[in-house]
Amino acid sequence: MPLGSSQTVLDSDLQTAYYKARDDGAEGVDVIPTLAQDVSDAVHAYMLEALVTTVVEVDTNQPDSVGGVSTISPPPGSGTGGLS
Amino acid sequence: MPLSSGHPTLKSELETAYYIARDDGAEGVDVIPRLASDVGNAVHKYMETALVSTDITTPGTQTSAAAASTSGTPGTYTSPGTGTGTGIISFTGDNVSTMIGEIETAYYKARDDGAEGIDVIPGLAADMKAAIHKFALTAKVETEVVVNPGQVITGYMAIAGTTTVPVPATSLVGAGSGEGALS
Repeated sequence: MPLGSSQTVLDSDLQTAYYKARDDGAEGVDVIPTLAQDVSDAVHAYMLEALVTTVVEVDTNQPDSVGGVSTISPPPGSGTGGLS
Repeated sequence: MPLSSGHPTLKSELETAYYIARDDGAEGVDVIPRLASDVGNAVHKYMETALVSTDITTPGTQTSAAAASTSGTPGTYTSPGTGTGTGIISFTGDNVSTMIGEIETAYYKARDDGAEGIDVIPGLAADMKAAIHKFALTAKVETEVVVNPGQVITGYMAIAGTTTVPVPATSLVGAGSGEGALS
Protein backbone atom coordinates (compact mmCIF):
# COMPACT_ATOMS: atom_id res chain seq x y z
CA MET A 1 0.00 0.00 0.00
CA PRO A 2 1.72 3.22 -1.07
CA LEU A 3 1.74 6.38 0.99
CA GLY A 4 -1.06 7.76 -1.17
CA SER A 5 -3.29 5.05 0.25
CA SER A 6 -1.95 4.94 3.80
CA GLN A 7 -2.42 8.68 4.28
CA THR A 8 -6.08 7.94 4.96
CA VAL A 9 -5.06 5.72 7.86
CA LEU A 10 -2.68 8.40 9.11
CA ASP A 11 -5.53 10.91 9.11
CA SER A 12 -7.75 8.53 11.03
CA ASP A 13 -5.05 7.59 13.53
CA LEU A 14 -4.26 11.24 14.22
CA GLN A 15 -7.94 12.00 14.76
CA THR A 16 -8.22 9.12 17.20
CA ALA A 17 -5.13 10.31 19.06
CA TYR A 18 -6.41 13.87 19.33
CA TYR A 19 -9.89 12.85 20.48
CA LYS A 20 -8.40 10.57 23.11
CA ALA A 21 -6.20 13.40 24.34
CA ARG A 22 -9.17 15.75 24.45
CA ASP A 23 -11.32 13.30 26.39
CA ASP A 24 -8.58 12.23 28.80
CA GLY A 25 -7.59 15.85 29.32
CA ALA A 26 -11.16 16.68 30.27
CA GLU A 27 -10.77 14.19 33.11
CA GLY A 28 -7.61 15.82 34.36
CA VAL A 29 -5.23 13.20 33.03
CA ASP A 30 -1.77 14.26 31.79
CA VAL A 31 -2.41 13.44 28.14
CA ILE A 32 1.00 14.30 26.76
CA PRO A 33 2.80 10.94 27.05
CA THR A 34 -0.06 9.06 25.42
CA LEU A 35 -0.60 11.70 22.76
CA ALA A 36 3.09 11.64 21.86
CA GLN A 37 3.01 7.85 21.72
CA ASP A 38 -0.14 7.73 19.59
CA VAL A 39 1.06 10.39 17.14
CA SER A 40 4.45 8.73 16.79
CA ASP A 41 2.76 5.36 16.27
CA ALA A 42 0.57 6.86 13.55
CA VAL A 43 3.52 8.40 11.70
CA HIS A 44 5.55 5.21 12.08
CA ALA A 45 2.77 2.99 10.70
CA TYR A 46 2.35 5.40 7.80
CA MET A 47 6.03 5.40 6.87
CA LEU A 48 6.30 1.63 6.92
CA GLU A 49 3.80 1.55 4.03
CA ALA A 50 6.04 3.57 1.72
CA LEU A 51 6.96 2.13 -1.64
CA VAL A 52 10.36 2.92 -3.08
CA THR A 53 11.18 3.16 -6.77
CA THR A 54 14.64 3.86 -8.10
CA VAL A 55 16.47 4.26 -11.37
CA VAL A 56 19.56 2.07 -11.29
CA GLU A 57 22.90 2.76 -12.92
CA VAL A 58 25.32 -0.16 -13.09
CA ASP A 59 29.02 0.67 -12.95
CA THR A 60 31.53 -0.29 -15.63
CA ASN A 61 34.42 -2.63 -14.79
CA GLN A 62 32.05 -5.42 -13.72
CA PRO A 63 34.24 -8.53 -13.82
CA ASP A 64 33.38 -11.77 -15.56
CA SER A 65 34.35 -15.40 -15.37
CA VAL A 66 37.13 -15.18 -17.99
CA GLY A 67 38.93 -12.17 -16.56
CA GLY A 68 37.10 -9.55 -18.57
CA VAL A 69 35.41 -6.37 -17.44
CA SER A 70 32.45 -4.46 -18.75
CA THR A 71 33.50 -1.39 -20.67
CA ILE A 72 30.22 0.49 -20.78
CA SER A 73 27.23 0.65 -18.49
CA PRO A 74 23.93 -0.91 -19.52
CA PRO A 75 20.87 1.26 -20.00
CA PRO A 76 19.33 2.28 -16.70
CA GLY A 77 17.62 -0.43 -14.71
CA SER A 78 15.02 -0.15 -12.01
CA GLY A 79 14.54 -0.94 -8.38
CA THR A 80 11.47 -1.37 -6.21
CA GLY A 81 11.22 -1.88 -2.50
CA GLY A 82 10.32 -0.35 0.80
CA LEU A 83 11.50 1.17 4.05
CA SER A 84 12.35 -0.41 7.35
CA MET B 1 19.33 2.90 12.06
CA PRO B 2 15.91 1.78 10.83
CA LEU B 3 12.58 3.48 11.44
CA SER B 4 11.98 1.13 14.36
CA SER B 5 14.96 2.75 16.08
CA GLY B 6 13.83 6.26 15.21
CA HIS B 7 10.31 5.61 16.45
CA PRO B 8 11.05 5.86 20.22
CA THR B 9 13.04 9.04 19.61
CA LEU B 10 10.12 10.53 17.72
CA LYS B 11 7.82 9.75 20.64
CA SER B 12 10.26 11.27 23.10
CA GLU B 13 10.77 14.43 21.06
CA LEU B 14 7.04 14.91 20.54
CA GLU B 15 6.51 14.52 24.26
CA THR B 16 9.16 17.12 24.99
CA ALA B 17 7.65 19.47 22.40
CA TYR B 18 4.17 19.14 23.89
CA TYR B 19 5.41 19.74 27.44
CA ILE B 20 7.31 22.85 26.35
CA ALA B 21 4.17 24.10 24.63
CA ARG B 22 2.06 23.40 27.70
CA ASP B 23 4.47 25.17 30.03
CA ASP B 24 5.08 28.14 27.74
CA GLY B 25 1.38 28.43 27.08
CA ALA B 26 0.72 28.62 30.81
CA GLU B 27 2.89 31.73 30.81
CA GLY B 28 0.94 33.33 28.01
CA VAL B 29 3.49 32.73 25.29
CA ASP B 30 2.31 32.04 21.73
CA VAL B 31 3.50 28.45 21.65
CA ILE B 32 2.56 27.61 18.10
CA PRO B 33 5.72 28.61 16.18
CA ARG B 34 7.97 26.71 18.59
CA LEU B 35 5.63 23.72 18.73
CA ALA B 36 5.37 23.51 14.94
CA SER B 37 9.12 23.71 14.61
CA ASP B 38 9.73 21.07 17.27
CA VAL B 39 7.14 18.69 15.83
CA GLY B 40 8.31 19.20 12.25
CA ASN B 41 11.94 18.70 13.14
CA ALA B 42 11.08 15.55 15.10
CA VAL B 43 9.20 14.11 12.14
CA HIS B 44 12.04 15.02 9.80
CA LYS B 45 14.64 13.43 12.06
CA TYR B 46 12.53 10.29 12.41
CA MET B 47 11.97 9.90 8.68
CA GLU B 48 15.68 10.14 7.96
CA THR B 49 16.28 7.05 10.09
CA ALA B 50 14.64 4.97 7.36
CA LEU B 51 16.63 2.25 5.68
CA VAL B 52 15.81 1.49 2.06
CA SER B 53 15.80 -2.00 0.58
CA THR B 54 15.11 -2.66 -3.09
CA ASP B 55 15.14 -5.49 -5.57
CA ILE B 56 16.69 -4.32 -8.80
CA THR B 57 16.78 -5.37 -12.42
CA THR B 58 19.24 -4.27 -15.07
CA PRO B 59 18.65 -4.94 -18.75
CA GLY B 60 22.17 -6.07 -19.65
CA THR B 61 23.39 -5.34 -23.23
CA GLN B 62 26.61 -3.71 -22.06
CA THR B 63 29.84 -4.74 -23.76
CA SER B 64 32.94 -6.12 -22.11
CA ALA B 65 36.52 -6.91 -22.96
CA ALA B 66 38.67 -9.86 -21.92
CA ALA B 67 42.17 -11.02 -22.77
CA ALA B 68 40.68 -14.48 -23.09
CA SER B 69 38.96 -13.26 -26.25
CA THR B 70 42.10 -13.73 -28.34
CA SER B 71 40.29 -12.71 -31.50
CA GLY B 72 39.77 -9.32 -29.88
CA THR B 73 36.00 -9.39 -30.20
CA PRO B 74 34.07 -7.89 -27.29
CA GLY B 75 31.54 -9.69 -25.16
CA THR B 76 27.98 -8.57 -24.74
CA TYR B 77 25.75 -9.13 -21.71
CA THR B 78 22.86 -10.98 -23.33
CA SER B 79 20.73 -11.63 -20.26
CA PRO B 80 19.22 -9.19 -17.81
CA GLY B 81 20.57 -8.96 -14.31
CA THR B 82 19.05 -8.87 -10.87
CA GLY B 83 20.32 -7.68 -7.54
CA THR B 84 19.61 -5.64 -4.48
CA GLY B 85 19.87 -2.05 -3.34
CA THR B 86 20.28 -0.66 0.15
CA GLY B 87 20.25 2.96 1.13
CA ILE B 88 18.76 5.96 2.84
CA ILE B 89 16.34 8.80 2.33
CA SER B 90 17.02 12.49 2.78
CA PHE B 91 15.19 15.78 2.57
CA THR B 92 16.13 19.30 1.61
CA GLY B 93 16.02 22.08 4.16
CA ASP B 94 13.47 23.93 2.05
CA ASN B 95 11.03 21.04 2.31
CA VAL B 96 11.54 20.80 6.07
CA SER B 97 10.74 24.50 6.37
CA THR B 98 7.66 24.07 4.21
CA MET B 99 6.37 21.25 6.42
CA ILE B 100 6.98 23.28 9.58
CA GLY B 101 5.12 26.21 8.03
CA GLU B 102 2.18 24.00 7.17
CA ILE B 103 2.08 22.53 10.67
CA GLU B 104 2.15 26.04 12.09
CA THR B 105 -0.76 27.05 9.87
CA ALA B 106 -2.67 23.94 10.95
CA TYR B 107 -2.15 24.77 14.64
CA TYR B 108 -3.22 28.39 14.22
CA LYS B 109 -6.31 27.30 12.31
CA ALA B 110 -7.16 24.84 15.08
CA ARG B 111 -6.64 27.52 17.71
CA ASP B 112 -8.83 30.03 15.90
CA ASP B 113 -11.57 27.54 15.04
CA GLY B 114 -11.50 26.22 18.58
CA ALA B 115 -12.04 29.72 19.90
CA GLU B 116 -15.28 29.76 17.94
CA GLY B 117 -16.46 26.51 19.47
CA ILE B 118 -15.81 24.36 16.40
CA ASP B 119 -14.64 20.76 16.81
CA VAL B 120 -11.15 21.31 15.46
CA ILE B 121 -9.90 17.75 15.59
CA PRO B 122 -10.97 16.47 12.15
CA GLY B 123 -9.49 19.54 10.48
CA LEU B 124 -6.31 19.45 12.53
CA ALA B 125 -5.78 15.76 11.82
CA ALA B 126 -6.38 16.32 8.11
CA ASP B 127 -4.02 19.29 7.97
CA MET B 128 -1.28 17.46 9.91
CA LYS B 129 -1.69 14.44 7.69
CA ALA B 130 -1.45 16.59 4.59
CA ALA B 131 1.71 18.32 5.81
CA ILE B 132 3.40 15.05 6.76
CA HIS B 133 2.33 13.26 3.58
CA LYS B 134 3.44 16.09 1.31
CA PHE B 135 6.79 16.17 3.10
CA ALA B 136 7.30 12.40 2.88
CA LEU B 137 6.81 12.51 -0.87
CA THR B 138 9.74 14.94 -1.19
CA ALA B 139 12.18 12.30 0.08
CA LYS B 140 15.22 11.64 -2.06
CA VAL B 141 16.17 7.97 -2.12
CA GLU B 142 19.77 6.94 -2.69
CA THR B 143 20.93 3.32 -2.79
CA GLU B 144 24.07 1.32 -3.30
CA VAL B 145 23.40 -1.56 -5.66
CA VAL B 146 24.86 -5.05 -5.83
CA VAL B 147 24.27 -6.88 -9.10
CA ASN B 148 24.09 -10.63 -8.80
CA PRO B 149 26.57 -12.74 -10.77
CA GLY B 150 25.52 -15.00 -13.62
CA GLN B 151 24.54 -12.79 -16.53
CA VAL B 152 25.43 -14.55 -19.77
CA ILE B 153 28.14 -12.89 -21.86
CA THR B 154 28.48 -13.91 -25.50
CA GLY B 155 30.79 -12.73 -28.24
CA TYR B 156 34.18 -13.53 -26.83
CA MET B 157 36.05 -15.65 -29.41
CA ALA B 158 39.37 -17.46 -29.07
CA ILE B 159 41.64 -18.37 -31.99
CA ALA B 160 42.08 -22.14 -32.06
CA GLY B 161 44.38 -23.17 -34.90
CA THR B 162 42.84 -21.83 -38.09
CA THR B 163 39.42 -21.13 -36.68
CA THR B 164 37.80 -19.30 -33.79
CA VAL B 165 35.67 -20.74 -31.03
CA PRO B 166 33.36 -19.04 -28.55
CA VAL B 167 34.62 -18.37 -25.04
CA PRO B 168 31.65 -18.86 -22.71
CA ALA B 169 31.50 -16.35 -19.92
CA THR B 170 29.23 -15.13 -17.20
CA SER B 171 29.35 -12.00 -15.11
CA LEU B 172 30.65 -11.84 -11.57
CA VAL B 173 29.25 -9.54 -8.88
CA GLY B 174 28.70 -5.99 -10.09
CA ALA B 175 28.07 -2.67 -8.43
CA GLY B 176 25.98 0.38 -9.11
CA SER B 177 23.76 2.99 -7.57
CA GLY B 178 20.14 3.96 -7.49
CA GLU B 179 18.22 7.19 -7.08
CA GLY B 180 14.52 7.52 -6.62
CA ALA B 181 11.54 8.52 -4.56
CA LEU B 182 8.82 7.31 -2.26
CA SER B 183 5.24 6.80 -3.28
